[in-house]
Amino acid sequence: MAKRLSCAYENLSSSYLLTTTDYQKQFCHLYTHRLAEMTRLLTPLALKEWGTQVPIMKLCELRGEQNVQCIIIGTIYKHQAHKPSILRDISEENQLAPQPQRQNYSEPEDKLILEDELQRVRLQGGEFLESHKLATGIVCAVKGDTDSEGFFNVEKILFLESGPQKPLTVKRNSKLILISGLDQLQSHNFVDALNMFQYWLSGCFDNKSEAQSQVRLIVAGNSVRSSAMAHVPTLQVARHQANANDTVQAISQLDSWFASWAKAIHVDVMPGAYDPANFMLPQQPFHKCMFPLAAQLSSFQSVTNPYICRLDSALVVGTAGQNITDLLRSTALDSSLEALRCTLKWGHVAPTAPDTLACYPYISSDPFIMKECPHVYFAGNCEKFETDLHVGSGGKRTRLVCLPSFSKTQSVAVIDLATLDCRQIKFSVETE
Amino acid sequence: MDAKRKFNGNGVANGHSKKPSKISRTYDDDDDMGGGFESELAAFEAMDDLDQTQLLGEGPENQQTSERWSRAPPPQLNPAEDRLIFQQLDVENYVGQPLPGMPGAQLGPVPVVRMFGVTMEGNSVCCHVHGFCPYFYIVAPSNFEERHCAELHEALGKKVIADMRSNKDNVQEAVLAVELVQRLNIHGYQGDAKQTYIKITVTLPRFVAAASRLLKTTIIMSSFDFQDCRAFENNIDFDIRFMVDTQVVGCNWIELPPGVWRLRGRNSKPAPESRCQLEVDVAYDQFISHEPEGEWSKVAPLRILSFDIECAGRKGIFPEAKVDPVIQIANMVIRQGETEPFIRNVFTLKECAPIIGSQVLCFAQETQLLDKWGAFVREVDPDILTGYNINNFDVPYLLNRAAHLKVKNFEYLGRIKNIRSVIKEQVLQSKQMGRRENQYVNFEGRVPFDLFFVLLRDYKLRSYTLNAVSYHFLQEQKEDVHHSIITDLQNGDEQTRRRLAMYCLKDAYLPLRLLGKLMAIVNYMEMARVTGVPLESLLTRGQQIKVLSQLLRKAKTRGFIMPSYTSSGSDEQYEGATVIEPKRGYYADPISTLDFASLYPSIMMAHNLCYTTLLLPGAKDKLGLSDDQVERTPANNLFVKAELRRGLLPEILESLLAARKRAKNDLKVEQDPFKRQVLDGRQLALKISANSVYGFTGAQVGKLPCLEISGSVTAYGRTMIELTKNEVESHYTRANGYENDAFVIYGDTDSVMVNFGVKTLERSMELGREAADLVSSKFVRPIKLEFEKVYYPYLLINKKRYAGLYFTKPDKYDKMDCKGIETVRRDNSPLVANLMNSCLQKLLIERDPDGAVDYAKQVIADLLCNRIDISQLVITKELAKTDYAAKQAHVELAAKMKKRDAGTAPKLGDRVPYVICAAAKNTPAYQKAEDPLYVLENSVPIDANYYLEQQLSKPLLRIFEPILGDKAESVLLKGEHTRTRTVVTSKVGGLAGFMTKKASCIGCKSLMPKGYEDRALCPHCEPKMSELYQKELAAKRGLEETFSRLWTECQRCQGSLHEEVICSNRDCPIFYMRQKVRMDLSTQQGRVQRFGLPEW
Repeated sequence: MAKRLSCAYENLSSSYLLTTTDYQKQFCHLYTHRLAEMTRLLTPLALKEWGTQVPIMKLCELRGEQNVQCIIIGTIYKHQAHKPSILRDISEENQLAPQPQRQNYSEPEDKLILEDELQRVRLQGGEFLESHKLATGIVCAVKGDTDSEGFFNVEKILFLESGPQKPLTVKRNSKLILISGLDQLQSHNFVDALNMFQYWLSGCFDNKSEAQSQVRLIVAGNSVRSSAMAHVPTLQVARHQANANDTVQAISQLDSWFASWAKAIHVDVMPGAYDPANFMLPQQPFHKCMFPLAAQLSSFQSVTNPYICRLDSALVVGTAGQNITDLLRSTALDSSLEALRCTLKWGHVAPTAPDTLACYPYISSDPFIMKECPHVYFAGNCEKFETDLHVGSGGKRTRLVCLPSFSKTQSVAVIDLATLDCRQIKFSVETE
Repeated sequence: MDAKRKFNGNGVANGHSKKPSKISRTYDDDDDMGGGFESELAAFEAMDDLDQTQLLGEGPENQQTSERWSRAPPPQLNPAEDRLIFQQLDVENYVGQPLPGMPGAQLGPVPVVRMFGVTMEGNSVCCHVHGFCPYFYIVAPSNFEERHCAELHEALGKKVIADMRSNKDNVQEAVLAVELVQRLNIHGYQGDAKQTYIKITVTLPRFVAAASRLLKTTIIMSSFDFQDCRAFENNIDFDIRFMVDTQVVGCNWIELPPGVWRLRGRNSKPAPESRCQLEVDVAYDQFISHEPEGEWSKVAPLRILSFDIECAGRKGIFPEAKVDPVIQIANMVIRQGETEPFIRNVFTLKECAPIIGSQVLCFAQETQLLDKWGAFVREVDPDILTGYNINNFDVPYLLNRAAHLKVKNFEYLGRIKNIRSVIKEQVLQSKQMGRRENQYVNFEGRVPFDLFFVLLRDYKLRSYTLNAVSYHFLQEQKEDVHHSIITDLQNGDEQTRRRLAMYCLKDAYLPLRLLGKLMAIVNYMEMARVTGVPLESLLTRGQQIKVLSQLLRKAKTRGFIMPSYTSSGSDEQYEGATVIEPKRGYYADPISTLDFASLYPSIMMAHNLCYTTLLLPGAKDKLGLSDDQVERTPANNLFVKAELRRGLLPEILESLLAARKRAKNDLKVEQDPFKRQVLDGRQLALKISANSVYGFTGAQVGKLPCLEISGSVTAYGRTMIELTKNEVESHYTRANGYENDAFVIYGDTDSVMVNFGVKTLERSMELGREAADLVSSKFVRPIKLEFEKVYYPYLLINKKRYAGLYFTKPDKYDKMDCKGIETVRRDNSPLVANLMNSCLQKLLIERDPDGAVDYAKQVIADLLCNRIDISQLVITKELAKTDYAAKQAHVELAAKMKKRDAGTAPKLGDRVPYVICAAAKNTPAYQKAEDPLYVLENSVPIDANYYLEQQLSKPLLRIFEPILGDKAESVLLKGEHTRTRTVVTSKVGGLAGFMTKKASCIGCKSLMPKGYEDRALCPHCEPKMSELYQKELAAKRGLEETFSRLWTECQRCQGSLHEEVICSNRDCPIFYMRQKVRMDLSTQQGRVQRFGLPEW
């Protein structure tokens, strides 16, 4: 490996590794745990924010009374008429004419419901509540009162905001490179760009000093493919898709790319939505057997999706983008960046899991709660490159990065871990 | 007192809405998928609070605890000046004492008719009608004259009294009058000369049977022998007799003019006996019974109470009232014509957390709960009681439970203060529904209107569980809690009981929604009005009573009387409706269909077929009738022509069809949706009634079967179909200048399918219309052939089996019409129905026969390779009794399951779902049934051959034979696609115990060599590890996705994120899937893990 800045590295994703699995469990445990844990974290925040005048109550303590000012902490459930439903998909009527899946099923008629440990109540709060920007699975504290119609009128709403942040003490200009959507099945379209990226990575473009400051490369999902395989709904149980040879071939190509990159820099590969990995979040690392060349290098590893690591003192959190895609489908949020920012504000990486985003049925934890505020927070496979330095309460600074897919834009993101500056580098070889 | 405080507390909690009430918009039929019933309930208007004023002047049982519950107080009425008008809902009789000043016997006991009803203002009425006496006729023996009447009167009276086993009512007078009357026998034309009959009027209804029996069997008068004197009208129910004679029809309006009625009050004599707000007395000849026409077709604001109970059963035992407590009763009360219930509450045992929008009434003791519920029913004073299967479960259970706990006064649920509601067994035998044993509970004045019965009568469905029904009609899945969990929920805390209360409320609410959606109350009420029978008898009795009631009414006006007929149970058959032998095939050209409008009724009208016009053998000569005065039917029976005597049945039919026409015309102009409902219900009731007249004459265990009539009707039908065929085929020919020679390809009871050999819909419709007019002109009025529809394309499989795309206008098809094809049969698995449906859609809508064949082959291949979801293979049967003579699959299975786990095994009355599993050769089918869940959990192999051969093959061949011809079988059932089969290895039974599992290579399935046992692949396959690993992973991906989608769907459906899904609704299409995916995913995860964890 070329000489590079040294950088302390710590993989903090162990909570995403599944060593044992139990599929007899249901999803309520995950919700329950999420609510319990986030209630614990939200309670002091609510007290700090709203004082002790207004009591924090459970819905069942209201006993149907009206006009009681109180604070309720609960999980949001958004009732949406066009939410994808397997029941509807398999119902006889639609058997021959399956309804095309909607790109976005957020509608003004959506109903917002807050559910605490035991009961539900309809939320109402007009413009300010921005219910179209909220999603199922968010835990929040609401202040307001009940009315005779059975609604809870929300006056204020409070989210967890991703915990405290440790100070950033990175001095040297060490840089992190993020790439996503390598889509090897389509690589014939951009193989030149990939080559250029490789030269750049190894400092062959007279960029040796730049290259030396690069400490790590994270490949954020969809390395093999970036779109779903055709799906045929029939009477039958889903038939196993024949594993096409081209996928196997694509992986061996990837193996050689990764092997050569890993000779230059530390490479962390996350699986993505359409990669040959498991479907539910958290996606588990690729198996070593798939990358026989790269796996021999100690600088190469496959990691989970979502992925958390600490580089020197910078906390980096990211996903391959499923959480963002799913949020954009179920809400009226208008950009990936906004969706990413929202998950940070809500203090939860993937609130729509498990409702519309597949996720493992955890029984005693919710590893997606953001208990510590990251310095770098990214999502792969977004529509376009977007970034912002988000400043949260108490001056917490987080670099938000929406990574576009390389196959579409031939670009990567480079983040300066000391300043949290971020820029996009394009390797497009098209003549302009 | 504790309970009362509770009432108050909750009342305050729920009340105080001064805002204008808001009718929830979320109530539209399919708007709410999973927002949860909870939020629906919450969106109801808020409830008023309760006040605890006691209503003065009523007996102790009738308390007024809530303004919302009680009816508004009645106006102050003065019988001398005011009239009382009410809609009667129930007519019954009792034995009482004569009221001075009323007609009829003046010595007790006497029969009194009681009518219950509601005024337009919503006040309940009980009306005692006095003076009407039962009677019957016998043929007068020759030489019996007026002067003999007195002797017969006395002699018969004595005999009847002596015949009584006991005389605790102190009956002194049994026969009230004997008189000679002139009447006509309804059965057979004998000219217009009336015969002499003896009309015997008795004092009590039960003496009718006794007197006629005594006349037949004993010597009453030495000078006359009555043994051979046929009795007439001695088998008519007293209530029907009363209604016929006073022109009262079911659910009509009754008016009591000023001065003829008496109001019972606190100090009146007799004292009030009922819980109705107004209780009155009137003579049977003093009230006005309004025909339900015009203004009098309105409907009073009836109160309909729908309720559902939950019991805490023990594991494995169907709840028994002697042991298992009633823990919740949910109630919804709606006023007829309104859209939302105005009372919603749930009575719970032990504390239950509040439910917004519903009142929660908690009780520490079950006895209190029952006691208060009884009081609630009495206070709400519902006119109609409904629910789902309340007649056979909820009501008897409550009564038995209350009796067991000795809850005082619980059983007084009816409107008569001193009459207890008791359970009786009732057997209903009808052609339409077969034999059914039911429990019947009396609620004097309230009509039990069980939705379950309505559905059973009027709809043919795969399954009649409330889940299945609400999915079918409302497109909503309903969470179902298995009885084994109910007890756990009850024993939890106030929140788990609240959860239970939500189900209970939903189960009380759904029947109301369904009744509304199906317009059941309105339609039944119209049926009662049209046919003249009480509302209740429509659900508890068969079709015959309706025709009987009409026939009696008509006969009475014309001086006819009906002989009593004792069913001989003869097997005499008359030839049924005929069909023109179908020319089977798949017709890609339009097929025009010509229908006879109301064929059987019009035949009866056109040819004057009736009891009164029938010439019995020899009568023609005896009466000296000429040939042109009579008509010989194709069945070789003689009837006199209308010029000589117009038949009663044709008259009944005429008025029914005329009324239907009026209703249809009114429907066209009516704007008000509620009135439209009434009118539509009316026209439908009229149509059904007209058609049942024919059935009445053919019913062999009927009141008055007459095979001459029914046989002639079908014979005429046959000749008319034949004639139509000949007319069409001889007129529409090339020779006559038409495009092609027309062929009648099929003809059924009342329709004829014609292939005019034209290519366009427009032309086939034009020719159809023309042909209908042409043929109609050949028939006697009112028989009319109508052009109704074109099938295009049309698949004619066999007699009564066809399918086609149904067009009434050329631009767009109306629907896909399937007759006699396995799309709804209940004893098939859903696979059959779904496959048939899909194939037919491909054949008819997509017009792609090849695609249909391919699809069928694909499904067969999937079946053989075990790729069909198990829910598609489930067959369901009700466990009606356990001692069938022949062994039955579901009974055997139920016994097997009981051995495994008595807790969840099906009980008597449950529906048992099962699948047929593979077993050794020659194992009888009934031993191959297995619980689908057990099959999933133990990977028991399915008997794919059974499904292919017993379930799929016949229906499939039927629809494909017209297309593929003889080779259908070889193409569909023996092709290449049947060669690959997958058989799973069972974890139980057979050889499973002897098998040891040895590691095999995931790649090539070979046994692992030594030293490799804990690896995934054998040395040979190891180089392909990446590829094989990916393959396993891909399988897991698919399962993971399905797992997530299924279980989150259930989480959403149950309306709570933090509670575990406990639904056990086996009718839900994903019930088995979600279990299967669990298993499959665990197995697949095991396979993936053999490759080792992805560690770096």
